[in-house]
Amino acid sequence: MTDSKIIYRKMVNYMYKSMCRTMEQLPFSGQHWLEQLMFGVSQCILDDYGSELENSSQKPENICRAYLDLLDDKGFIDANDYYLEGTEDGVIVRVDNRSCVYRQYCLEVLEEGLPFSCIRLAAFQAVLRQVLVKEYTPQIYVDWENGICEGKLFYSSCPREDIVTREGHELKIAGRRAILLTQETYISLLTSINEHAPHALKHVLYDAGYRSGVYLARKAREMYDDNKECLQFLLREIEYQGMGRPELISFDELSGRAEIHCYDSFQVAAAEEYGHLYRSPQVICDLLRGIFAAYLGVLLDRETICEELHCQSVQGNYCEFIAIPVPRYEKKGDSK
Amino acid sequence: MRRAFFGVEGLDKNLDKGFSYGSQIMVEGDSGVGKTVLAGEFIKEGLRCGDTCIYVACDEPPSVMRQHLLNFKIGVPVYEEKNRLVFIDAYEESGSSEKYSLSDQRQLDKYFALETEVIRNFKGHSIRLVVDSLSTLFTMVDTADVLEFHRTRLKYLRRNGVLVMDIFVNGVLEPRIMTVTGHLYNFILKMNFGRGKYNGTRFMQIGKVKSQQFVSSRYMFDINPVYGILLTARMGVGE
Repeated sequence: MTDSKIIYRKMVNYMYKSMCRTMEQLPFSGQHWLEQLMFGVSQCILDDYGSELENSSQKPENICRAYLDLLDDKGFIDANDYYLEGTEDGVIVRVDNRSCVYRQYCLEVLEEGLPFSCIRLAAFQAVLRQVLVKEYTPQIYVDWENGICEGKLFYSSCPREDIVTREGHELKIAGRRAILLTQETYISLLTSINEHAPHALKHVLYDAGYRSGVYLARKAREMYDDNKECLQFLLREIEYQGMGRPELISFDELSGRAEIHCYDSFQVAAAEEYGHLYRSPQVICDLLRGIFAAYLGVLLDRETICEELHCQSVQGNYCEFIAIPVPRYEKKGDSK
Repeated sequence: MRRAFFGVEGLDKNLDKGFSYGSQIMVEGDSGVGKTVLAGEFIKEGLRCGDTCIYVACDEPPSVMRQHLLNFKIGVPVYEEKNRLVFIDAYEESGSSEKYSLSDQRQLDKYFALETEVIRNFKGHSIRLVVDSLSTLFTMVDTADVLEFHRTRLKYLRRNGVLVMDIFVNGVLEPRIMTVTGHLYNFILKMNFGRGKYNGTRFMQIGKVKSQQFVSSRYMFDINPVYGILLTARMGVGE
């Protein structure tokens, strides 16, 4: 490879990495906008060469194959580095990542934990969107050891929750009208509930969390077959929404038990700034408790209950949650 | 030092700074009035506050309280697994599957030994202890023994900073024992059904015995399947 090629490759990788760093600062993860940027690049290629795309199929793998051939023909890639396989709802793409031109970007961005989008997969997303007028969701697994990236594009009719847009004066999340709530508004709501119905506060929060959690979990279940993967996705949503940084400590599908730690819960921050609503120091993250119970309940299709055992507002640097299926107790002792 | 509360809004509001750990509460009430529900509220509050809650089941098997807490969406097995909720079975006598059980309700010394053993096991924790109901343990024991046991036990619990809620069912023990026993507690909470035009209405009074007089505030209350005990009005009687 010539020096100038190495320099250009480095520059491209730097640019993509810089985009990811910028996107990380956007609310709701910036993942959607990062993908839009990647689409944009692919769209430019399609604008210039799309008329030469030789495809008459409606099958995603055939469309992607035709696009690969086009890029190969134009000298952008070597089509032999790719393996395509059709699935029921999309396509699987395997790429040899040892010779991938975006290897540096990919390695560094994943290592830094930044929002990430596979450029190659985004290109296929773009062509599928153009030809089929459908949105495909990407999933990627990078195996550095064996030098393989395995990506999956699957059709999803539900818009993702990290897609925040503004249409005129309306803010929308996943296509539905939304508002941004400041800490002041949130605490005002809580204070108001506490003044009018103090006995109801923790129940209202738990219930509100549960209801919103059920909605999101049902939607996510349509996108992910694997429960653990789906749960991880849902926990990321909590982080994207600014409610805290949850970490899945353990998850046993068989017993239905999950342990989750949440760092810097929004409720803890609100209590620290505006004071505690309860008389004695105690666990306060009932909203999150409800959300976690709903997530597990929907994913495992079992009625689930979640407890907060330790709260960062009382001690430590995270809140500890344990979710379990609702037990059934047999009543005995009627003999006495 | 952290203060504790019942976990019942309205009641807690009037407790000013709440209870210190080592305080002793006597709950005395009519059968079916909601004493066990109050015990459940007290435990729920304790679990939220990080306490280790010990429940001594004398009148029904522990599974009844487990189910009761579960009805209020408390993840009982989670707390039991973490040793934050402990049950002592003083009901079954024989064949109990509980880790802690009392083999003979009539032997107060055995009960005291069991209670102290459990409390020792959780030394260093902030502990709430609920005995539901202590009057059941006293029914078949001589009055003098009851009083001696009671003084010794409460002294031990106070010294060890255990927050105690002892429940007594009205009409089970002689009035004299109830009066003497009442003097040993920091707080007395009476729960009764109203009479006359208040027939069927639930009331509670919280106060202290001062110069042989029960000085208290009286409240009307109800039991809600979601919120538990709800105080509806302060009656202003006996204040």
